[in-house]
Amino acid sequence: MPVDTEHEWQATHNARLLCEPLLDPRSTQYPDWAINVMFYRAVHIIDKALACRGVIDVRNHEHRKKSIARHLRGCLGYFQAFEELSRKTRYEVMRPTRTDVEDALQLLSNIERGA
Amino acid sequence: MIAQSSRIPHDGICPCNDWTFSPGKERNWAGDLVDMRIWARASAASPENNRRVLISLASHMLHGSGLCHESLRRWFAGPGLTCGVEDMRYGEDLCPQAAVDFVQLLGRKGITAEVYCLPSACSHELVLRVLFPYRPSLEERVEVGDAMGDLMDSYPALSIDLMTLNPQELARRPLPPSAVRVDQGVL
Repeated sequence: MPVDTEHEWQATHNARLLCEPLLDPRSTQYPDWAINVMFYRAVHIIDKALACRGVIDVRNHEHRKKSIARHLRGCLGYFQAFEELSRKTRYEVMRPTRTDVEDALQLLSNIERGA
Repeated sequence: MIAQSSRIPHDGICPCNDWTFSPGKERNWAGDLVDMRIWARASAASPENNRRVLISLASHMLHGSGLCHESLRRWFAGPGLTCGVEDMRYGEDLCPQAAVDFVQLLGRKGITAEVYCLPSACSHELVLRVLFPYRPSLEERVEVGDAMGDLMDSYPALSIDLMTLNPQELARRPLPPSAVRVDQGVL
């Protein structure tokens, strides 16, 4: 399966998970996980866009950011803000608020449009 | 690594220059392909710069992790020279100036948050924390990320670890005492 198709599949898969009642961003009791599923949908949307531009071996966020800066510059600010939000919920034990979830939805929407 | 340019084998398809990583290595076509790609990258550089290819490769291998062949594959997949002689020589000095430049980039975007630099074990890693006295809006956080992109343009050899913090986040996890405030002109 071509790399861009694989990322498309994973991005769609993550979108389906967000439609499940447990993780519906607007009603979930687990906003931290909803934010991270949204973030990883954004990651695969980005990786698909990079693959379409010939960048197929993205191994970590640092390499991903450098590739975004080069090929998808308009998405870099969104990606950085999203990665910080995701990182805080995963490692800094941040308890996201409704505003954080709304921010994540906005960032995902911007990346969907821009990538 | 030894260049054996005097022995140029022909495989019937194309000539290649035979590089070996260690004396006595048995013939290994996959290895020769790797060797050819290193040779090609070195050859593509000017005589003054081709030794930078080896420094870049050595840097990548030393700072990377995982298996040797995986590390090589990532190096090939990456951009050309990302860590040359000058970057290696002056690597220690890049972070302070980059931190000051970052504050100036933020200032141009109208962001006056405090910026702190955290020490890193790796001289090529710039760890920055941007402290807002309030919860920054999404637009402000995106602007901070854009400023990081501008900084990456100026310092492609640096690895940047950036985090934007509000007062609540800072109270829960304060910066270490070793954090240094970055001003417009000095660190």
